[in-house]
Amino acid sequence: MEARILKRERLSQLIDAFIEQYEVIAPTDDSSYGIIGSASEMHLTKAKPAKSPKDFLFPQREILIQYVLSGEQVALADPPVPAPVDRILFGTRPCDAAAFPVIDQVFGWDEVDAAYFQRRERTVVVSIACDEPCETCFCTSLGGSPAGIEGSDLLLTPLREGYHVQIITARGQALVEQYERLFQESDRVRNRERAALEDTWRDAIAETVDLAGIEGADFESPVWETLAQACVDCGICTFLCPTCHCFDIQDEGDPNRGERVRVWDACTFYEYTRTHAGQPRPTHHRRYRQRIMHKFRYYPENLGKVLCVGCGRCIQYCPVQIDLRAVLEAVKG
Amino acid sequence: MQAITENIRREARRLLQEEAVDVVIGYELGWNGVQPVPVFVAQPADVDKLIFNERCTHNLAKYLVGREGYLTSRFRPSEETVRVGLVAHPAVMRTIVALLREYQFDRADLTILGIVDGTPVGLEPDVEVGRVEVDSAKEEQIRAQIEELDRVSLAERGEWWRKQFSKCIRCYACRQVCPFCYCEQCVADENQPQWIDRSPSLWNNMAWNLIRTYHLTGRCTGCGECDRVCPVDIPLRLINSRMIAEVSLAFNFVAGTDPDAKPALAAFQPDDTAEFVR
Amino acid sequence: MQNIYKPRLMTVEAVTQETSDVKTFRLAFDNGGGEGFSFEAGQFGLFSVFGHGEAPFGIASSPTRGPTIECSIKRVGKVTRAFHDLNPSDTIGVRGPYGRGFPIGEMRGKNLLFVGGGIGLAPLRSLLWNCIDRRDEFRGIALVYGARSVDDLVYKRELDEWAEMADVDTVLAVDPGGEDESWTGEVGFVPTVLEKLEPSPENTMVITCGPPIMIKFVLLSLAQMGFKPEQIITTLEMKMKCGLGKCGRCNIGPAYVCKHGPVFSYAELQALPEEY
Repeated sequence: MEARILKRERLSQLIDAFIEQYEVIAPTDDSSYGIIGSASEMHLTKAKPAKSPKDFLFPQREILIQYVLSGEQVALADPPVPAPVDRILFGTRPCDAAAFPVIDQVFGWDEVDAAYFQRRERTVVVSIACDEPCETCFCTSLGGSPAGIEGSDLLLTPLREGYHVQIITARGQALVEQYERLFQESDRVRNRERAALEDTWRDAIAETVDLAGIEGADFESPVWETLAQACVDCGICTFLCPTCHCFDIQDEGDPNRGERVRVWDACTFYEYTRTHAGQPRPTHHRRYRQRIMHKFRYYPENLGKVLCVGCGRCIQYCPVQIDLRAVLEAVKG
Repeated sequence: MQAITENIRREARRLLQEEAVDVVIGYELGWNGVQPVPVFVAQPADVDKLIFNERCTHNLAKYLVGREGYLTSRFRPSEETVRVGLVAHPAVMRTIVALLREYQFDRADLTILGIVDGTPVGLEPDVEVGRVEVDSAKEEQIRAQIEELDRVSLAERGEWWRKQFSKCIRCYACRQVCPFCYCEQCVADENQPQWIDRSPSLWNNMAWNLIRTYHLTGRCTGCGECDRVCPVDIPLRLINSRMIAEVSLAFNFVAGTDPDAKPALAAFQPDDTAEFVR
Repeated sequence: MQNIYKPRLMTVEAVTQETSDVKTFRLAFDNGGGEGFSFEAGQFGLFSVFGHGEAPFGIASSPTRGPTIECSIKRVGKVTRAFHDLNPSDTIGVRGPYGRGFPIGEMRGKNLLFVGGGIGLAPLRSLLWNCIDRRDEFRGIALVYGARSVDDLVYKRELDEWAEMADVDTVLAVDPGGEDESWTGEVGFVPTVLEKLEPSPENTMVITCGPPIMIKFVLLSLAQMGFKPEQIITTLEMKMKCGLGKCGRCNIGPAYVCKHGPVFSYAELQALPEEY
């Protein structure tokens, strides 16, 4: 695989150059990614932002249609789409990038979500490897790595001097060629350094889970009740998760004029499956069980991929520190 | 802290062995051996899981109330009363007082293993398992931040808060960890009509956060959990602490500190100073 | 590319009050808007009242009786209330048809026993008329239908029509206490009435839909009478939101009601967790 080297001091230059041609999305603070106007607005830290970048492919609020009633006639319109913009998503972690091929499956299942794939096609993913995995990271248990390439077009790995730039896809190649003047060739020594560093970082992952047997997870196991006892049914795990994609559809406006929107929803919320006919998941543990079973059993059974990339945000930000790794160990068949 | 841990274990063991309670709700060490997490101990053999340290901030009173609360759940057969032993730090004790004033449960069903800090609390624990110091540094920090905000112009302050609320992702963690948010149908979840749209626009986020603040005014006992759990670092503590101060100033009332005081915003006396009601 | 969330427009042609809280809506596509909308009995659509929202409803009319379609809707919440406020000539939206319909091919050459309760007759009606319109393909057709009271029976005019048909056996029932002076049908809960009839499982398929409690006891009765789970078909019209397998709401075990259902055989349901 082709590679380049980017000197550390060139990073800002590269980002500013990107900004001249593309919409650039990068971490802007500890909580989130955002569109940046200059390299100085970028906030790169050891820890990844609390929110995943999924918002930029699967927005928390998206207009599906607009409607307007004039006289007796209803007119429908597709949502106003700004001129398609080419974007660079910079500074994603390998886990977040790996999430995109996973959720591609559901948005392309039979009926294709056109808006999602339009964004996907116009977004180049330039990830940065994790040189200090957090205590809660467990990407390696899901087949990933702190320097994994799944889902990225380019991967920057911090070496002792500069960044190793791995060219993973043709899109990544085209991007590098656009700014060739800022890069240098890589060599065998640097490539080996990258590989060795990746091994170190993989070993640094504190806790791993052996997921063999997870598809045999027992729905009826009494252990679910104790595992989810502390759960308070908020939406943190779901909203921060790079692979969670459940949503609600509502009309905003009035019968004369308005928008039908799609908004993020969470199976952990009590209201999620409550209907006039009843509430099939009335207790914490039933909802929690559904979340885990859906991610590790039902989604892979239907769409071929586990709905988790081991980013660990659910563990890190859970108000009551429920540890998914412990849950998976306890319930696997 | 170690002494408190041992007291808690001893008392929990006794209560469970004597069958004075069905479950003890406290803290245990979580996944990294440092962070405490809520634990529900129903067997005497498990009491050694219980610990207490300065990180034990979760407001465990949350588990008493609401749809699935141990003392209020509709999912248990009515003949089955669950008796709970609760490890309660000072803010939790104030919470319990305020919840009792809202008639949420029977005092008799709760055994309080209380940790006190010398500040006024409206009730005695059933067992005092420890004393801690008031974190005056933290309180001072909050006071200083509020004062700093009060000093700037209203427009600037509004802008500052708008920036904070634009971060909100409506995960409702603030609501879910709060013992006073026990409504079975939250205003935010009502869809006939949809008082607050689900979209996380600034307008809707402000509606959500400010309505919650108003619904807590005169009730919040300042545990700070909403602030701790917010994943996008909205300093909710500043708003709720400020409202506690406002209520104290206006009504000479601080929730949870006086067992005899009626909740300020839920009680009216004929000699109330507010004219508008007459 | 197509916007999969964009509905087709339909006009309300007629509204029939079935019971105190159930209305049937006859809906027509606007000029050519029905192009490509061909459905099977048992499929559903996501119907919407603009400004109020979208909800899934089974199509209650037969595909053999187009070009209009019909939905029967019980008023229980925000969207259904908006439907109940509609008048003829109002516009609504529809997305679909979605889901797996009734396995009408598998039913050929068999006796068909329809067992319905309350508004559960709505999806059954689509299939019943469909089968009646292809009468020669099936052996016996029987309908056992009951509701809490005479008022709660839906499609009252059609119940008489089916009762008149020589090649359809119709047994109607109301719960004890639900009868009025002019009631000539059975008085009893549907499972009890069903057992009295002693239907034979021989070469028979049962299609049932109704309130959960009725289904529960109907399944018990059928089992006692020797029916196998593969012979019993039902439809789970619930919990769906997007109809596209994406929003996650209808997921029950490995099944998505909007993709693998809403029609399920009882054998398939037994393999799923009881979250419905």
